[in-house]
Amino acid sequence: MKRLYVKRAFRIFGFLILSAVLWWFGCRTLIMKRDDGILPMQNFYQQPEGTVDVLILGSSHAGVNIDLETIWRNYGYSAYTLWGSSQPFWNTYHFMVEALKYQSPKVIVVDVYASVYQHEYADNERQVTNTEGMRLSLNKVKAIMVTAPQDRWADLILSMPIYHKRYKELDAEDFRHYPWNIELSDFKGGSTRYGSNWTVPIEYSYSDAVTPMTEKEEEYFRKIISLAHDRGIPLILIKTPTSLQEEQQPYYNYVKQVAAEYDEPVYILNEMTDILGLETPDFSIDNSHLNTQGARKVGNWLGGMLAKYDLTDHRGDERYVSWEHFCRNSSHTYLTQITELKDWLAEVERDGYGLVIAPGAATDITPDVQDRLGQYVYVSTEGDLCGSLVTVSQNDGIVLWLNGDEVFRTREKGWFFAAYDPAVGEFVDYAMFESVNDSWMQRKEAPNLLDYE
Amino acid sequence: MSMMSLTFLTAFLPAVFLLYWAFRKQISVQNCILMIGSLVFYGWADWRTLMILIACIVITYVGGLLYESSGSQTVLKVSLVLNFLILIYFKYTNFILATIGMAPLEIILPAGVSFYVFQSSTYLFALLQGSGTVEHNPVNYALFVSFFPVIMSGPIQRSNTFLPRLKNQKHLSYEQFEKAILLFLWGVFLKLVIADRLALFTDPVFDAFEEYSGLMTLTGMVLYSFQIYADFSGYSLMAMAVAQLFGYPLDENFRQPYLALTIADFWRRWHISLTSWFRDYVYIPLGGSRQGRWRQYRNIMIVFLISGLWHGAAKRFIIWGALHALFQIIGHISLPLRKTVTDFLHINRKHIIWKSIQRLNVFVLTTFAWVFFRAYSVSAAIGIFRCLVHFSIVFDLASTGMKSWDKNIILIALPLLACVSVLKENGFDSSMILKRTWSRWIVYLILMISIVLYGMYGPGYSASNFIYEGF
Repeated sequence: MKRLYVKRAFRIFGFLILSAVLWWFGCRTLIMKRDDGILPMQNFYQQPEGTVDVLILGSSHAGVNIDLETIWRNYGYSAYTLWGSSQPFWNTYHFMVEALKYQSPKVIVVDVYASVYQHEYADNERQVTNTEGMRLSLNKVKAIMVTAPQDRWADLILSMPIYHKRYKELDAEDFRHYPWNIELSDFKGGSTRYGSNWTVPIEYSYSDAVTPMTEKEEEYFRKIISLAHDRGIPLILIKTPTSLQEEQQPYYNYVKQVAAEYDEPVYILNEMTDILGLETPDFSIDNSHLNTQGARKVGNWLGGMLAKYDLTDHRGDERYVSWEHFCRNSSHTYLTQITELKDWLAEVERDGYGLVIAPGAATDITPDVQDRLGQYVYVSTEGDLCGSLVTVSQNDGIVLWLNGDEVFRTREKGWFFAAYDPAVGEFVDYAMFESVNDSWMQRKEAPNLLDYE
Repeated sequence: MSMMSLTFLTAFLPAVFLLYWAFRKQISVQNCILMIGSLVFYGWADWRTLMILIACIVITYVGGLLYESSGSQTVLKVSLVLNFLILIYFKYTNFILATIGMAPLEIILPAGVSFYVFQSSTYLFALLQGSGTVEHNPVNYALFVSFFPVIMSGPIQRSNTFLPRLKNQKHLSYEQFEKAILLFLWGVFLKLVIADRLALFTDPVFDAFEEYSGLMTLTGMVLYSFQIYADFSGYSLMAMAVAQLFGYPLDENFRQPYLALTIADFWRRWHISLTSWFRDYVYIPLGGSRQGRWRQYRNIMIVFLISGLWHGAAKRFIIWGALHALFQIIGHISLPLRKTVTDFLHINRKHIIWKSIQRLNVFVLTTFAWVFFRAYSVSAAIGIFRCLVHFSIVFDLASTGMKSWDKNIILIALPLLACVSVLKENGFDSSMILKRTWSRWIVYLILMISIVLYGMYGPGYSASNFIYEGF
C-alpha cells in the first residue's frame, strides 16, 4: 500500500513538473517580443555574469536617446539600457531591484523624465510592457501591485491571460527567445532610429518655476536614489535632450531639489545642447526622442562622464564579445533604416563596409555578386565615398561619377546599392536609391538582401 | 466568488480542500469548515447578499424545529411561504411593479437566490410529505443550503439525500480525485473554449439582429443552442467535480439533452435537478397525469409557466416556458396519429434515421424557443424571427466578434462535444480513459493546453458570467 502511495505521489509530482515546463514554454513563446520593456528585461537575464558595468534605466528617453554603440566603440564600457516606454519611477525602481539581483553595475544612470507623469497608473499596455519581462518573483509581484489596479493583478502575475491569444500570430521570431539561444545576450537594450520626423518645432524653453512630482513618483524616485546609495553604486541622474516644453522644466527643477537632498546632481541635457552639439533639430526624430545621430552625441557625452568612474575598457576582452555583436547588429539595423543615399554612404564608410553598385535594371544582386563583378561596380571603402560619388540627372538617364570618372550611365531612374560587411562576410543591406534631384537619392522599397539567405 | 476566478482556484479551493481533509476523521469539524467556506464563498463578492442567504437558512431551519415541537404543518407552510417570499421579493417585485405600471425599486438580485431557495424548500417539502426528518444541527443545515459548489447555479440538491451524507465519513480515492479533475477540466473547456467563444457570434446577432442577414441570424440561433448547453453543463460539471473533491458525489444535471427524441425526453435530460424539483413539488401535487388528459395538460402548462418565471422575471421567459409546454402537449396529443402514420409507412421507429429525424425535430423546437430565452425582449425575439422570414444569405463573419481562428476552433470543438455526447449516450465511461497513466496524461494535457491557449479569458473578460448564475 505504501509503495502505491509513493508511486502515485511521484506520478502527481511528475505531472505537475511537466505542466509547469509546458506553462513556462508557452509563456516564453507567446509573450510579445517587444523592444519596449519586455525584451530589455527578459534579455537582461541572458547577460554574462558580472559583465554589465553601466546600467541605464528609464523610459523610452533612456532607451532611444543614448547610443550604447558609441559608449562601447569610443570608450569600451559595457552599458545596458533597461527601459520601457512611458516608464514611471516605480517600474524603474523594480527594474533596478531586479537588475541588481543578477549584475553588479559600477555606475547606474537614470533618466528622470518620469517626474512629469501625473497618473496613478500608466495605461494598460505600459502596465504589461513594464512588468511582463520580469521573472516571477516577489519583486515582480510587488512591481505589479504598484503598477496596476487590483483587478489586473491576477492577469499580470499569471501572464498567460495577457498574451495567450497570440497563438494566432506567432512567427519564427517567437520561437527564438529561449534561454539556450546565446544570441539573446547580444541584445543590450539600445535601439537605432533614422530621420527627423518631428511635427512641431524643436524648442528649448527654460523656467525657474518648481512643480512637485506626484507623491507616488517622488516616493519611488527617492527609493531609486536610496537603493543606489545602499549598494554603494554611483548614480548619474540625467534628463536626456528632448524638445523641452515649458511646462516640463518645473518638474525637472523639483527633481534637482529632491536629488540635492542626497547630494546628487541632475544633468538636464536640454540645458546643455550647445555642449552636446545638438543645437539643430536635425538630431531629433520627434519631439521626445533623438535620432541615432543625436543619441551618438549623448552617448559620447555620457561616455566622458563615465570615464570619471574608473571603468575598465573591455574592448578585446572575450567575455564582452556580446557587446561587439551588439554594435555590429546595431550598425546593420541602422543602415537598413537610412533613407537618404548621402547618409547611407556615410554610414557605410564609417563602418568600413564594402559596396556594390548596380544600375536599376539589375534585380538579381545576390550574395554571389562578387563572382560576377564584370556586370557591376564594386567599390572598396577606402577613400571618401561621400565626396567622390556624384549622381547627375540628365535627359538621357543618370550618370554615376566616382572619383571624377564616369562609371555608369543608365536610363533607369534608380541604382541598387548593397553593403557588404567583411567582418561577418555578409551583405547587410540591399537598397534601391532613386534620383530625386541632381544631388539627392532616396531609398525605395526593395527586397532585403537578407531575404535571399 | 466565481469558480473560474483565480482567487477560487489558487487560494480558496486548495485551502478549504487541505483543511477539510486534514480533519477527515472528525465529521463535525469537516462540516464546520465547509459551512464557513461556503459562506465566505457566497459573501465574497457582496457580503450584503450573505444576509439574504442566512435569512433563508434561518427561516427554513427554524420552521423545521417549530414543526417538530408543535407538530403543526401550518408552521412548515408558513416557513415555505416566507422562504418563497424572499425569492419573490428580490426577483419579481420590479417585474410586478412594471406590469402594473409603477416605478421600479432599487433591489439587488442576490446571485443564486433561485437555487438556494428551491434547495432549502426541499427540506420543508420533505417534512410536509413525511419523508424527511428534522435536522437539529444548525451547522449541517446551513451547509446543506449553502454548499458552495452548488449554491450559484445548482445542481439543486435534495435534503433527503444531502443531509444524511453530512453525517457519514467521507472518502476521496485517488481514482475519484482524478475523475474530479477530468470533470473539472472538461467543464472549463465547455465554458471557456466553446460557450464563451460562441458568444462572440451570438451576442451581437441577438443584441443587434437588425444589422444581420437571415442566414447569420439563423446561425446565431443554432449556435446559441450549443452555447447555453456548453455554458450551463460546463458549470454543472465543475460543480460536480468540486463537490466530488469533498466526498460528495452529485447526480448529473445534463444527460446529452440534444440527443433527446421528444421534448419530454429533452426535459428529462436538461437541468435534471430543476426538472425533477418541479415534477415532485409542483406537477405531482397538482395531480400529474392521474386525473385525465386535460388536467395533465393543464399541469404541464402550469409547471412550465412557473419554470419560465423561475428563469427570469420577464414575459419572454414565460413565453419560453409556455412554448415548451405546448410542444409537449402537442407531442402528446399527436402521438397516436404519428404512430399510425409511421406504421402505415412501415417506418421502423427504432431505426437510426428515424431517431435522427426526431432529434433534429427536438433541436429545431428547442432552438426556436431559446430565441425568447436569449432575446432581450419579446419584440426583439419577434424581430429575430422576421429576419428569418426576409431571408438573405449574406454571411459576414467579421461583422461579429468572431474571427476566422475562432471559427476554426469552433469547427473542431463542437464536433468533439458531439462525439463525447454520442459516446456517453452509448455508455462510454470516462473512467475508461483514466485507466492508463499515459492516456490520462494525454487527455489532461490536451484539455489544459486547449483551455490555456484557446480559452476566452484575460483582460476585458469576466469568466464569472455564467448564463445560469443570473437566475
